[in-house]
Amino acid sequence: MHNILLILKHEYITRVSKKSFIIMTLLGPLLISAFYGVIIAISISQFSKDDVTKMAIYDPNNALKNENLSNKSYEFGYVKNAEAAKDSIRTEAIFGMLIIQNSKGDSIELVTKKNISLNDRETLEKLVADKLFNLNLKANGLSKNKIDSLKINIQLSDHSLSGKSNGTEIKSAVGYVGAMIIYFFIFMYGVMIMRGVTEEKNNRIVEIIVSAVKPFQLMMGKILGVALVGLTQFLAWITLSGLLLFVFSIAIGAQHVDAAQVASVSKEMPSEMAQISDAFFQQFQTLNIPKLIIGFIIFFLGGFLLYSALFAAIGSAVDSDTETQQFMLPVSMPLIFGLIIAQVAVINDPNSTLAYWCSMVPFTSPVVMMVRLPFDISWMEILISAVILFGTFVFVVWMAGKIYRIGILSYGQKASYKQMFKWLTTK
Amino acid sequence: MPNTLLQINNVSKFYKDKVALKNVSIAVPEGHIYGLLGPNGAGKTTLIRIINQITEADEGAVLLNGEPLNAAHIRNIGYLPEERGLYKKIKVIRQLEYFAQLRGMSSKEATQKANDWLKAMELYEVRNKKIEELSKGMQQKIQFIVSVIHSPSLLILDEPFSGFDPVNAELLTQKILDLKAAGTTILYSTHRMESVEKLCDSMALIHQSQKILDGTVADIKNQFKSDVFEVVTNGPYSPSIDKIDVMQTSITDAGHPSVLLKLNGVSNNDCLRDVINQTELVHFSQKIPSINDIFIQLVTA
Repeated sequence: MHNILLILKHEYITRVSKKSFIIMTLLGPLLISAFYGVIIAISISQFSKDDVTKMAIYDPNNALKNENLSNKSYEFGYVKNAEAAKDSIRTEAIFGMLIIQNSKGDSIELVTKKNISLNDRETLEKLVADKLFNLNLKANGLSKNKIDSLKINIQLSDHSLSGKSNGTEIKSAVGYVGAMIIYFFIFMYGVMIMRGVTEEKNNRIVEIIVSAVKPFQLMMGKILGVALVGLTQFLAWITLSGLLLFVFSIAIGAQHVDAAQVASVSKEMPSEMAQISDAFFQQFQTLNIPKLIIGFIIFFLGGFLLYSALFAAIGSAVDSDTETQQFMLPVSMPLIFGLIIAQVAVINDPNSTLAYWCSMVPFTSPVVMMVRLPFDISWMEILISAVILFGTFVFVVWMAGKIYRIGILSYGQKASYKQMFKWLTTK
Repeated sequence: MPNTLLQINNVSKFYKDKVALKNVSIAVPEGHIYGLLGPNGAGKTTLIRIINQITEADEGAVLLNGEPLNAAHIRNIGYLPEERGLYKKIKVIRQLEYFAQLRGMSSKEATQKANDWLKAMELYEVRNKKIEELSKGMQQKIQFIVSVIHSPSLLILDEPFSGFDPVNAELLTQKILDLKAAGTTILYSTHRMESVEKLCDSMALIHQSQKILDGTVADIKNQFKSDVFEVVTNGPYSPSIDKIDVMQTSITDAGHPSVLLKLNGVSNNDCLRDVINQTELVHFSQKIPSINDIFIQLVTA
């Protein structure tokens, strides 16, 4: 135990005091927020583009009755001569032309020089369809307002037996985000451990270390040490992101938004939006936050430790980083498989047989159980899965230790599965 | 005879397609510098790894101070492996403290000892530098400190002089002798025989996984010098006494025939008479073999 702590401390201090760690810890939240900032900025700029697209409409049978279709983004003009309009398209005076043959809306053509985006295409289709629909209504003596008032919109608000809202959407979202975080940290730090082990092997330090401590202790100390480094970075990122968000919102708030504006905005907020945010808070209340946090920590650590041990075993079996590739795939497969299961099976039915078993198998449980976690999984199930996970972890560390002990002392011997199995059974 | 510190009893170690050690028994007396000799691949390193508990023997037993080897012995053993390695990016002082603590020292003790040794090895000024910033010779010296910092009662040195320049080799020799004077038992593994005569009190020779010779250096030399004589003559000579064995014949630089004779109890004078009867004697001397000679003789036999 003493030795494990010594190694843990050594690994932790060495890694945390590295420049690259400090830089990544500080820059991480900045990079992530910059990343999302850019995505948001791009999508906003797309929605609020100022330039108006000029379009011609060739409507020989007068299906649209010369109605004005123009809006903020599109300016339409009727043309009598299709060939002249095509010239204008060629010279890019206008973007394109809609050719409308009849009021039924079939065989409507769009002529453009450049390719049109899916988004723009849908907008145009909707514009024309709406207009034709309105004209149809009018022709049949119906008013649009009348139709709207007759339409019925329903939204299921699902409740569990206890009478609360089920909150399916937010549960799926929370579970999935948690699973993604686990997935990324496992890979990031798993590879770090693998490198560390290979490096020690290449440096020939191991011979001194294994003459002083048991390989199991060395493995355990190393994995726990790096796990702590990962946890440190994770907590630092959360704290920093929170801080960043706080500073950011204060800065923006002070500049642009005063309370009156907020009030007026929320008054103007369409009723749908208000409903959505209302529904969000209702759903949010359905989350069992303490259970989620405890579960997240258990499966974050458990998955992290188990996979770290596997990665460490790979690191000890090979001579160089390049050789690790062939072993990386089979180790990462279950995890990727878990993520797919999480996407497909769990989101559809968190209590399906497949979802249940994948959250028990230790190689997929960190990801799958995390996704299931928000859906009122019983503590008993969580406990069983956690025990299996941590039990497997200890077993894999023991195994990795064995591979390590032999692997580190056999240089130049090409590692293979057969070889590794032999190492496992060597005294 | 001093106590036996390290007793190796009939140890064998098998790998899947080869025998690494076969029935090896060695007794290392307390306070001796014990030479473990043998050509490359003889099994020295395997034996050392067994003593260090890196691998286990398949057969036989290893006793330290009369007790079967166990985890508690780790802090009594110091090890300088042939393949050197240190953490390149970690400061000298922190590295020494870490290894000392792994061998069971307290943090305070470790710092104290590390500083003492750095001073003794003329490395105190570089204590806050990273290993990769140091010269090869300095790294070797730090590696040596790692093996002795916890004051082990048994120090295992595997080819300690490789990579040392003559000045530092002298410093290292002095430190090894100092440790011996302080009561440390040293197991010195090498294939460089000349250093054995200078340093070792006793030794064992391992060849093709087996121990083929052991004892004190003086005894071994006596055993091999007892009977062998070099005879240089003007003309050809072959012994007419049956008991005398010819071990080797050659021609000297001056063109004289030379023979190595094992007398097997025949007196020097009888042998000399036999020579003189046949030809003119140029040179007659008792062959005092170096350990190197003994080694080559046994290994190539």
